Amino acid sequence: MQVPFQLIINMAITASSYALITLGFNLIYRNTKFFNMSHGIAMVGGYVVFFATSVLGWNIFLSIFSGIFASGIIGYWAYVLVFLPLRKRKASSMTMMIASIGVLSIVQSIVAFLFTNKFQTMPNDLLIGKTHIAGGIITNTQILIIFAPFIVLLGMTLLYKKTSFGKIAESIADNENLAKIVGINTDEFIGYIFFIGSAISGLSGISSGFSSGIEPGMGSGLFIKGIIASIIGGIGNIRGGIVGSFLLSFIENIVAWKISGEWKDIISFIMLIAVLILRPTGIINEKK
Amino acid sequence: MNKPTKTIIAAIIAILVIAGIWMVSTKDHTKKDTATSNGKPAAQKTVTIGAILGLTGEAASYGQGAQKGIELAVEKIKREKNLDVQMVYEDSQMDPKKAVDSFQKLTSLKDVKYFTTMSSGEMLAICPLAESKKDVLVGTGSSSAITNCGDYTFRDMPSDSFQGKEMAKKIYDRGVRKVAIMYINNEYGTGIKDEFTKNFQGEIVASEAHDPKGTDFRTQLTKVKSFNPDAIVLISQLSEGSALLKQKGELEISIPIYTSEGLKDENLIKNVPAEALKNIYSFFPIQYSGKESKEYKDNYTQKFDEDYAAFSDYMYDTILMLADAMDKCVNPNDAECVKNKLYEINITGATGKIVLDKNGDLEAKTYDLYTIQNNQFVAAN
Repeated sequence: MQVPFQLIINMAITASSYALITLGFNLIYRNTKFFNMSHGIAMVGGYVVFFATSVLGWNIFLSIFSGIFASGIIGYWAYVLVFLPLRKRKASSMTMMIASIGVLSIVQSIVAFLFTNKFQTMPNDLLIGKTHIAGGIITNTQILIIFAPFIVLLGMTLLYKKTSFGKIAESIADNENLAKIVGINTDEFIGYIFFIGSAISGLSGISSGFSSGIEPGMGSGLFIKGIIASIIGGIGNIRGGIVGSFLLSFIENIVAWKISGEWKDIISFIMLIAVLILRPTGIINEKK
Repeated sequence: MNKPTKTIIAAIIAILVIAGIWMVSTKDHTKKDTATSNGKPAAQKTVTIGAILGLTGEAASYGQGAQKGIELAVEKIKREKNLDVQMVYEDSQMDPKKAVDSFQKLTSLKDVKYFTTMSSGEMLAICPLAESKKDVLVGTGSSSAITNCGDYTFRDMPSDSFQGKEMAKKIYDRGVRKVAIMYINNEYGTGIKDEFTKNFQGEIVASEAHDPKGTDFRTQLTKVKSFNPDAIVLISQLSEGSALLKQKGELEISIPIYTSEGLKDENLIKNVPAEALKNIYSFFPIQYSGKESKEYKDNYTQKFDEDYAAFSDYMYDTILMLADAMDKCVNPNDAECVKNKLYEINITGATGKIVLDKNGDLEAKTYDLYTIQNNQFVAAN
């Protein structure tokens, strides 16, 4: 019984990094309807935390907050400088996607330029100590990593159900032109959505920084898995993304366990293609 | 913006562009002028070597270090030999495709006959072209496939296949009978793994590949642990290896781990918490510590004010070895003669004795085993 439980822990850690990506990605997708590749700027969060703790010597929680905030700001400015002008020109979602790849490359290159391309690990653990459960081992940092997407989901649910922010966001997601007619400044509002979505992306970079390490290209790798999870769960579907993440991670880990580790990526793309062919709307039905 | 402002801005941009072009072109001229007027006495023979290095991009730290090593070699050659070596650097970002472009550029535009490059991927991409043009290629690639490149390719780095054999033998000699292999799924990893598998006399209970750029190794580690091997053989590179060892520590796996030479890097100690680095043994080509090595390290530190970069000493030796062969030819630009002389090479460089076998490979160099104590790599007993 010992080994399988460790497998569940491993699965949950990986799933959480994917889930954080899907949360921010789906949030932005709902309101803009384009594939925002610049969502892969997740590494910004990781690097800010790394810099703040190891160079500036800041408190770890302050560093994490700064990392999340910095990612949000970068996402917001990417929107103001790149995506907003394109939206005003009624650019197609294909153009927007290509522009977002450009944004990702620029941010990635700047990070590599500032911090080198070397792989680095976080200087110290977030929480000290380990917990042994049912023969498996989990560090306390990892427990926090697993809970992170659920905390974010809870926050988002409260924001959507209890505030006017949520109602406005949903009205834009439903019909942007109608929202404009009733007097909502949709351009400005989507900027806020970009801020929140990118901040969540930054959090996923921080979380995977603590679980393995950081390097400038890590965002894209994480993002691809996040996208696959989003598509499996139904693109734009926030809860579906979380279910997709856990399903993807579960299958990846089972394959690594039963067959071999190099099949992990192959199986995730097979899943992606299977879902696209058999159930392009994703496995989770969203009630309207 | 009104019209006059636009015109002014356009004019300024035009002036800047023209000034830029002018400055670049004159800069080039001055460089050439000084090269000829300050040049060595006419008696010195000039040879050009093309260095295709990853000066930018992911492997920039290696490429820039190599360039510094080469500069030191060129200075030494100018001091000691009747040879004026001119280097032409091309940035390949350590990408084999770009390395081929650089090679084509150097042969067609500058008529270069001698080339050096660092990584296995680049050497393997260039070597068929160099062979067909009968140009000499020297480098530090370790892939076992380089052995079959042909007559005009040489290296002063032990072949991976040799490392695989050495690992198999030494690990067995240390009493390990049951191993699990974890290897990176690329040329480097599979090359060493295949040789290890062929030569290891004990039992191999698992052989797990991980993808380059992979970050999540927990399930593979859990799986390997369940086989209860005497030791894990880890054939990987710094990023993947660091993440893997960190996760190994978190999973409290205490099985001894033997790593390939790629992980004997100071950055490993920086990246991985100390408790995860217990019971780690790293193979590394035996370190030469004679006067040539000391001379190199001192010169490097003196000139560049930093510790010598990993593998830069091998690149330094690569150039010394090539220059030694050139010096023995009446006409150093006769690539055929230089090629023949390279097979007879017998010098001692910063990395030790360099003697090449009939395949242009470095003659067997043994490997030392290192372990980590007090945040330092020390010889393991």
